[in-house]
Amino acid sequence: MSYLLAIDVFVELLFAPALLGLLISFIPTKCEILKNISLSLCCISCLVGISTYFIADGMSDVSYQLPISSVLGDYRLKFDDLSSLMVSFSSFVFLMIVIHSMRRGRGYTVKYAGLMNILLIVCIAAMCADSVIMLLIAWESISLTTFIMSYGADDIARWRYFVITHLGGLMIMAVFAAMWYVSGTGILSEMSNLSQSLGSGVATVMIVLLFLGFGTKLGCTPFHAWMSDLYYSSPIHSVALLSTVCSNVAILLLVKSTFLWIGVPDNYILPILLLLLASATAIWGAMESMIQTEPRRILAYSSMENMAMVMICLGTGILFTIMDFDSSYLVIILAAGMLHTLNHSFFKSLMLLNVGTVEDSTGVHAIERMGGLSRTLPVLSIFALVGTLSMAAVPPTNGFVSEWLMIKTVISSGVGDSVMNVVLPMIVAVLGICGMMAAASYARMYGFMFLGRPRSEEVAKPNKVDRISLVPLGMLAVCCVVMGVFSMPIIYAIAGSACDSLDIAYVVQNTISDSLNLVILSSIMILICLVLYLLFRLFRKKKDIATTWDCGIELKPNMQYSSVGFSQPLVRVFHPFYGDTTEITDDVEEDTSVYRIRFVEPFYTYVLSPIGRGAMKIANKIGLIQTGNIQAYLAYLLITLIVVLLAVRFV
Amino acid sequence: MIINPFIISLLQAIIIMLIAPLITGVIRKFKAWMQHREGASILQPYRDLNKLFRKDEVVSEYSSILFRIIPFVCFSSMILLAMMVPFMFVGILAPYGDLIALVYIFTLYRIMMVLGGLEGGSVFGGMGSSRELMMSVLIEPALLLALMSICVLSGGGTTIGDIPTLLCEMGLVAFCPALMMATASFILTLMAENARLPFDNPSTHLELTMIHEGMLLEYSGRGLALMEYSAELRLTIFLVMLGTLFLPWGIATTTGVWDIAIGLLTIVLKLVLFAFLLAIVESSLNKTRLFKIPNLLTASFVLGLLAIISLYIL
Repeated sequence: MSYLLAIDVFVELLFAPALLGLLISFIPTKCEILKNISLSLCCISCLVGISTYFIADGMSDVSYQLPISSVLGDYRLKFDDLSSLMVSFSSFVFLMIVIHSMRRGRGYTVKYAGLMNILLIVCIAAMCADSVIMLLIAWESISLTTFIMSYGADDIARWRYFVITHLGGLMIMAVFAAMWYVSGTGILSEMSNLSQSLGSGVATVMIVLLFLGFGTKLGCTPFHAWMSDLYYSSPIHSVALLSTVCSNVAILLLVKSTFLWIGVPDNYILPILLLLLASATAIWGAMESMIQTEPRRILAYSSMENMAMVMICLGTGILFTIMDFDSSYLVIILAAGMLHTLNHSFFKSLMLLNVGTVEDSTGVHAIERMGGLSRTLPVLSIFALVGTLSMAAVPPTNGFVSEWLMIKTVISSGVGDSVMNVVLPMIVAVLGICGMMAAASYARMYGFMFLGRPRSEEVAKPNKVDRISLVPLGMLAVCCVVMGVFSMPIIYAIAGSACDSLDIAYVVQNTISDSLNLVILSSIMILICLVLYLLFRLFRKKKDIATTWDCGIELKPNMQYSSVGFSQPLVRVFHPFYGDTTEITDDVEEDTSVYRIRFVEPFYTYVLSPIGRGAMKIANKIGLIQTGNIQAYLAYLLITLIVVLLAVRFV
Repeated sequence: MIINPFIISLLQAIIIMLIAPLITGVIRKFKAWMQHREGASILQPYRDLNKLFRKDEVVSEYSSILFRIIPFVCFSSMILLAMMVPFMFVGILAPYGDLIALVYIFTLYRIMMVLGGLEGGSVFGGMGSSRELMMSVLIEPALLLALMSICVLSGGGTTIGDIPTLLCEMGLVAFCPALMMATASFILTLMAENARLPFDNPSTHLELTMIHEGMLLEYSGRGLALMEYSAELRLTIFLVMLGTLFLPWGIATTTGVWDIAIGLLTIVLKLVLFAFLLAIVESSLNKTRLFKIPNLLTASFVLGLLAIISLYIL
């Protein structure tokens, strides 16, 4: 096997610039240039990261040991095909976000640049980790870095994120410790199919714990409570990184640990549980995103919904494995899930950065005060349109291709006699409902941000958008279309590397492209549009510009449909789920009534808050022994000592 | 005698495009008869389109470039679908998308129309868009399930051209509860998606009831002509899908002249029959209250689900 680059040289190229950028950030200064140097170094690392998939081809079997080690074992990295594919795509998204953060006057300090460098390093390390200790440290660092990067956010939101993500971290740690114990080795590439030695019950519990653990980052119910508030109040680039690159890491680790390291146990309860969990998350995310009043919150719930769709794919993959389907179905549903993860990171970063740019330019956060931006910020509105269509899974964008692949695989696998087949139409129904519901919510977001008439002064006259922030947005938008129209090579690449890395004995055949050729479909559409356009040009008619039809009165800014009213029909239809309450209070003096609708987030109100209150109660009880009296503490010491001595003596 | 399949496919797409306004005209004529009216000529929709294409256009000063693009996108997506559904022959002109892609092209049309309704900031447009989205959240899964059940029933994949062939080969066995439920579900979807009674009233501009027309309120001249034409095309495509995917008997599976002739005759008869049935249904029902619509759509959804489940259980 010929090496394009020796693995140690490659790892140095990958990590050295980011480490240097990190070092620079320790210089206590407010100098703008240093921040830009640090960010540029991060960009260099990203560029090397993008090349991983092309370079790592020859070193997919080599496990690289970092020149440091600990009592708990070596720190190892391994660039297998699937990981390097994910690293390449994630680095591209990372690069775009970093470039966007470099625009002038954003007020980021050099410290923030340093944090970005750390996040890049730990994300790549987590994706390529080959030893348990490396993986756990990298994962924990991701949690901590993103927590610090969300500075400036609402304190409750930040700490909620901190607690929930560490709860997940604990579950992951427990599972990996158990894997370590059972396999007797800390090296991940030497583990495979542990479920056989674990027994199906234990393996089921472990996989469920992993889904919940990684689900804390992905927004799995009921752990999504942190998302909306954190997305709303932290710096947009932290949010973008958290929502895209970190989600990619979580999904990749989930896939590898479920299908390779632990292996699928022969237990029907597992896929049913996971599918229920993921479906609940997907539908809840889609429903909640419909009623949010800030674009950032809409995107938070949309992240939740998209990641849940990927989890549905993984659950379906587990189901296929247990039902002993042809392994082509497993490979393709996994490829669909991975593709959706990648696509999500593209369109979601596009939309988040777009929303950030709009907020910077107008200073408005609430969707209720936006509107008509497509006339004042035309370029931005086109990029946002691409992102919206992509999120709404409209052909020929990339979001469509991955949803198409999911649904197609589930539908075409549905031929059979087993009773478990009954689950498949349910999966299609869930994908259909939440796909369309989410599409509705994105159409609402785009419509009320960019279309219509401006609803406030600031939005009517936005500040100019910095050129440099348009570059990454444009590139991401182009990628969203290109990855959709020319998606087949990407699907085959993902399927091929999934087979390779997950030890699935299957040779990917190029058969999917027979049933969908977006190049031709979109060329036909463009051709028809062009012909029509030319015909219309040829027989030109007069075009008048007039005001919107107003029934004879002058239209005021608020005399148009409101985003809250827009979602009301759906709220009425799904009324019991939303937990919405309506209050009408009469103001007798003013002779008006105030009509107020309040939505409760049931998972937060009925699940997490009681747990939190319970924990506080227990803490208060324990607090009773903290008397502040030195004699009491000495007594505790004495008691502890006696107990320990007795334990040592008798055990 | 054998005719080149490509020529037949091209012919199919052209026929669908040409007869689309005629179908609307026929339905209106049937409805007029049922109300003891003479009714307009069945060629009236052509005249309306012709008139609109010749008119000047007025656009709102608050609308963006998207507003002008939307009619083109909607129209071209419907033409694309006209190429993708079988008509008299199972072969199709654009075999580059399958049934699911077809559903998503309808989604493209719908989302574009919804965005068009929000352009210009008129209240009626927003109302239409909002209601359309409420319906589509329930329509799309129902449509997917109905199509999934015929995929599973025919035992083929999601390829459009295979399904009629496979169903025809199955003969009478295909007349199972699953097919009937799927067809019933699809008919409900058809009426909801095409803004027919009892979901929406296609011939009213009364703001309290309108859904589809509300979104088109800001269009005029050629834009309106394209949107109206696309709506007529959409109805035709749905009826054709009902006649060739769900009840495909009579469709030509070979390219012999006789088969094609029979295929053409049956599909034309089917379309006239469907138009007649649609007119009966529309004349005998009244418009449902807006928040009763979801009940009907849920029925369609459940029927689709039951159709597939019955395949595994019965």
